[in-house]
Amino acid sequence: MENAVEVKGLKKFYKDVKAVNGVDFSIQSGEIFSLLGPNGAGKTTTINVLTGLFPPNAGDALIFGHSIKKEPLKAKALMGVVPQEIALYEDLSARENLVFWGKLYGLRGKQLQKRVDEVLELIGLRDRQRQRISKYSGGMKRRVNIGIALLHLPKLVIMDEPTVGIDPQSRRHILDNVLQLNKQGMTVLYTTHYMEEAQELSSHIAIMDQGRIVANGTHAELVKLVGEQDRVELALSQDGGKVLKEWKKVKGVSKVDQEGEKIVLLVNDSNAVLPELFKIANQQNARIASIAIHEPNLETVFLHLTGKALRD
Amino acid sequence: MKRIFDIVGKDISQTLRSPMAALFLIAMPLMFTAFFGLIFQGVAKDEGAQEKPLVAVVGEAQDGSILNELQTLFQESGELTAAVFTTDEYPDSLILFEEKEAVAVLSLPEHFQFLSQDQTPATLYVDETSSEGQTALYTIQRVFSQQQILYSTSRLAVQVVDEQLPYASDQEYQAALEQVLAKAGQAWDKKAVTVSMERAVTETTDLSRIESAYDQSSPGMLVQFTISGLMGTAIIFVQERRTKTLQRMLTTATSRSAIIIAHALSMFFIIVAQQIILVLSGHFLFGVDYLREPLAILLVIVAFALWVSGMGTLIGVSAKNEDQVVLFSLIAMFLFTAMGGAWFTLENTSPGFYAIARYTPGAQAMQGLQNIIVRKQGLSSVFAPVGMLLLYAFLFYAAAILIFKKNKE
Repeated sequence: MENAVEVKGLKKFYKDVKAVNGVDFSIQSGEIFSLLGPNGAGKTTTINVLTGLFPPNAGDALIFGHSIKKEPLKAKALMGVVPQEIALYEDLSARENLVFWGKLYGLRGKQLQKRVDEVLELIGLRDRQRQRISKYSGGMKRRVNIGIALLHLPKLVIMDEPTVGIDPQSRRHILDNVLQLNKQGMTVLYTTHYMEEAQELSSHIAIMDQGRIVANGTHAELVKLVGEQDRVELALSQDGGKVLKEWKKVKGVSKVDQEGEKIVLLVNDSNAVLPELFKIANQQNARIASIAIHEPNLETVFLHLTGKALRD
Repeated sequence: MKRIFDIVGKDISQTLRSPMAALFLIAMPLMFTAFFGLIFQGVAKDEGAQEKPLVAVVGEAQDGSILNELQTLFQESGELTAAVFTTDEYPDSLILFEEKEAVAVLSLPEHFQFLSQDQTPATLYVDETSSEGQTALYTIQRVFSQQQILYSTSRLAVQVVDEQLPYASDQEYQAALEQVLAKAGQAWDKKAVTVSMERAVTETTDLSRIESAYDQSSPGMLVQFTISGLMGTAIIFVQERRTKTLQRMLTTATSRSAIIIAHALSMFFIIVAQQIILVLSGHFLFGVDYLREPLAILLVIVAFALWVSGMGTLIGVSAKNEDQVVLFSLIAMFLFTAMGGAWFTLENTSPGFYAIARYTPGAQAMQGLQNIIVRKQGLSSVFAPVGMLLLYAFLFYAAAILIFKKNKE
């Protein structure tokens, strides 16, 4: 199958900060690919370089075979970009915004008007299309923000954290839209720091941290990276410094971390390990106040690979 | 290319739907043209009144003919207006001077005549320290000298004839004298050498006393509000950066240079339209003769709009926020309108200021416009200022493009 995106050795530095430090990945045509990582991991910078906002310091990216360095306008013509922040003209109406951006995407005449009507229908704003954007709610603005990127039926839609700061209902609407677009054959590059979104939407996920891709694959492939390890979250009724040291020595425990008041352990078999953990806690006169066991997920993978939680 | 005009259309639509646009672009310049016009017109009227001071000629009612003759002579001098009063009306003629009814009072003795040796001299009350008083004194002296010469030469001529071929009677002698006097008067008017004074003006000609007050206020306000009008469009640049719409534009197949050209073009179109409206208003509302050389005025307008849009683009790409746009635009407006002679004629300023200010873009635009409307020159007179404005436009655009490319979003 044709590669929609091919990123090779991409680097972007700001003075001394290595925002993107040698990123490689490829996206097959027709799939939803998520870039997952905490804030500051380099996801938005990667997107900005891919969409031609900044030139890379090294490396290149091909969009359906067109280099963003050598043929930026051809590459851009194939993509629709949903920026992280709402990028609309507040003093124009939704329809005027869509018409303007549609023209910049090369649409004209009847085709433009038809696509504007279709997009207004898709984002559910047909009735309020003549109202100025400044009068819209945050969720409605988000919908127009996404709608613009779909006007010219691009082969690739790039969405940079489109669900940040919105209510659960609008979030659900956006995720459904992404799945619907993908069914229509569009390739989607989706960045998020919400593990659940990446897990629900994507066929492939790349995990980013500190400007690098630390893992890349399907959900199942990524989970395999941490083996069949369970994530055990415990809370102790008192300071557990000494307990944590003893727990690290237990066979089957691969990692012990303190996250605020919570202690997180990665264990091979929680059923086998838990009795030993309780025993050590009793010996140290520490009482376990709560316990939760999670089967492996992307959060576990991220913790395993970087030693920190996704939300850090 | 189409995308450029799409952005231009969007910019113009955004600018025109701003409630401040019509106020700043059209209403305020017209209001201030009228306002400054009224101010300058008031000064002009005062100056006009001072040019012809009133002289009161006071004498006995029975000497009406000499009183009227003097009034006519003073009026015909072109320098004075004269009014005749009798001693019955003003027994103490000095009161006319003291109460400032007239800048000078000429009080004639009873039976006053020109060239009478043994009569009481006429009395002139005048303040020699004032400019009007000096004008009155000089003119009255000139009129009297003229009459002295006319009467002396006429009398001498008649005397010479009388000595060689005596007149039969005193009546004949008197008739001959009056005839010679009349001839001498006509000869005085028919000058042997005539020097006519024409209006000769160059680009450095003092424009401090221009014919119509609106000839200064109309182009002045046009220059001022054209510069201030760029604020609305320059602010679009900053808003696009703030709202990330500029970044979004760059993710479409629109090049960086197309975006800057589009914004500059929209500014240019708005400024040209604004100037055309102000020129037509100036011509038809305020009687400023812009349309005597329409092509020349159009050249100045286009060149000036290019420079202003260049400056607006420079401000747009340099300013970090809307406040900075307003600040930079106001500084530019005050600097270039004051130095451009939009509020006052540069010829009235100090030589040092004039030497610098006359080369600023605002001054070049004013010079181009006033070469047509005040100095009544032709099309070629605007070539130099238009050339200078185009040079300035090039420099400002070059600076704006360099900054825009450096600040890659």
